[in-house]
Amino acid sequence: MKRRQTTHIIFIFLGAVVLLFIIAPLTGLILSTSGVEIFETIKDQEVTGSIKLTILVSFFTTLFFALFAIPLSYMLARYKFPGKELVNSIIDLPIVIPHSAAGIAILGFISRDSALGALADSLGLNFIGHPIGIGLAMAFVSVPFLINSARDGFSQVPDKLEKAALNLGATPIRVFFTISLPLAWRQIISGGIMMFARGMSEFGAVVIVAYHPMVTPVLIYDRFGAFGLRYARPVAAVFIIVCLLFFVILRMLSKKGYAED
Amino acid sequence: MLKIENVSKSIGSFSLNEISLSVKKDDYFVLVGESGSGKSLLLDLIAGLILPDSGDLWLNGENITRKKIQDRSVGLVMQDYALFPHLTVYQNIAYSLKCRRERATEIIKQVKNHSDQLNISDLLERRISSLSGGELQRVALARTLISNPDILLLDEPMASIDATLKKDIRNMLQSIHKRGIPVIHVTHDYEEAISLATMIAVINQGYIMQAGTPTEIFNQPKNYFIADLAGIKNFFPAYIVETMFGSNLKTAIVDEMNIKLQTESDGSSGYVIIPPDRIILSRKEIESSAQNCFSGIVRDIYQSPYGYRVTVDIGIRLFVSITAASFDNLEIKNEAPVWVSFKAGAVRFIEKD
Repeated sequence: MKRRQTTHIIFIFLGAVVLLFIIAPLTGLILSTSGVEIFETIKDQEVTGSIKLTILVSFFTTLFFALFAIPLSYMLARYKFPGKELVNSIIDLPIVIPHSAAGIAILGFISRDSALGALADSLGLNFIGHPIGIGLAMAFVSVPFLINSARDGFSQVPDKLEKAALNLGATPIRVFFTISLPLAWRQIISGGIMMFARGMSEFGAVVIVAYHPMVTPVLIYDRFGAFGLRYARPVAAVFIIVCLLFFVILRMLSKKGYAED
Repeated sequence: MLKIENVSKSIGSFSLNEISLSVKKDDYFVLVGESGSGKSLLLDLIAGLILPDSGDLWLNGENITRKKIQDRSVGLVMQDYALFPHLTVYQNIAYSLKCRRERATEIIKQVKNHSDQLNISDLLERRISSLSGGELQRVALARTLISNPDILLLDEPMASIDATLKKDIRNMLQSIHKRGIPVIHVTHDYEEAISLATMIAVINQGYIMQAGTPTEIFNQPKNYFIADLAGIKNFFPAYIVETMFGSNLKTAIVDEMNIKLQTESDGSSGYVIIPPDRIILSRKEIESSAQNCFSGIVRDIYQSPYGYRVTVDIGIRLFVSITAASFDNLEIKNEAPVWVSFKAGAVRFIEKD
């Protein structure tokens, strides 16, 4: 019994160290920023414009990529096919490669030399330095969170429910929208929130694709490089608060949705 | 109605082999088999949830072997009901009508009709997670019946039902069948089979061992496996003629013989089962508390894994199980006169209709 208690105390201590490691720098950053500095930063249109851009691009990128990621997740959860493990590994690739390298890869993919870039150019669009380019860079590093979570969600839907729906005369597409999707919704929303949050905070890939217009992580870096820590810190503090607010609100909304289910 | 012709299906190391069955419009067809015998797999094949490797399925003269699940008019009630947990009872029942894009007024009317018939009108706004086993069963049946299937498939419909509710569910299934819907009912419980079936097929390890009426199956078993199914021996059609007032001791007529039995059942016709290991075999008449005592002639003897099985003709043929030691002591021989006795409490009565 005593040995068990000792183990618990050791585990609690080790866990607390990790938690402190996460909380301390963030709290320190916010506490070392005065109210006046935060107020001034909120009034700074470059900062608010950047935060708005970051949130909107990440939000619409998540929505847009969900259209492709959710069907893929469903296929990965439901079907057996050759090379499925390879597909799963490919999906996790952006998580393990350096994000600056991901940015270089995206840049090559959307530059005017590439087929996609040339096509966009013919339509008068240049993805580089454009919110679409930023969105692509964000999606590249964040879409695995959505796919993996949605795949787990679909896997947890018993396939007998889908078979029962087919037996009742539903078409496969109707089964997907009325049975599979609503039952996997919780995991899909959770994955979507993670993708959105990860997209907002992306720096490495975005900075290579688009230094301008500046998303907030790039702006923080820019101010740090040009003016030093003192000027970068208030922007970082405001952005962290905004990210936390969004994260908490979205989590609460999705939880409310589950409670109503 | 439904014809299954030489259907085979292999899944891993298990296979259904050359299954051929015919189900007529007025049949209540019960498929009896142990767990893992392939009976649920056969239902899945009929419903189209899986496709056979070979063979054909015909429904009302149409070959449905490769037809899509949603286009077959086959209603399947799965063992654990597979109700949609995110929908209310009403939404579950209305599901197939919405798939068919029926008008809202028609949906409301039909859901009301079916929920009234199955006594679940007060559950319509409830969540599936709040229902009891019996309620789940009724909702699943309503959801399937409202789709107006040509045939109803029931996979172990009483497996998760409280013993006290089984009679209600049985009556409900019989009344559904009387509406003119042929039923294929899968079970491992031979009593359930006897109480409902007009036709029975016994399935074992992917093979149909025998198919026929309950009397054919239980009185003329084709082989040792069928004969050895638990409780299958000493199975006779019977009807109750006499009830002693204030007692559950009753008299049943079995092929002109009077058998005393104890039963709470108030039905008058059904089947009696006398378990072979509850019958005492003796060379002479013995005085005992047993209500049933008959003289007879030994017609057959064969060794079983646990001793001997002796067939005694007392006007009906009774199988009696005895140990090897008792067999040696009694010096039982073919055509020898013997006595059999058994208590009224040993006789089981299974009510029919």
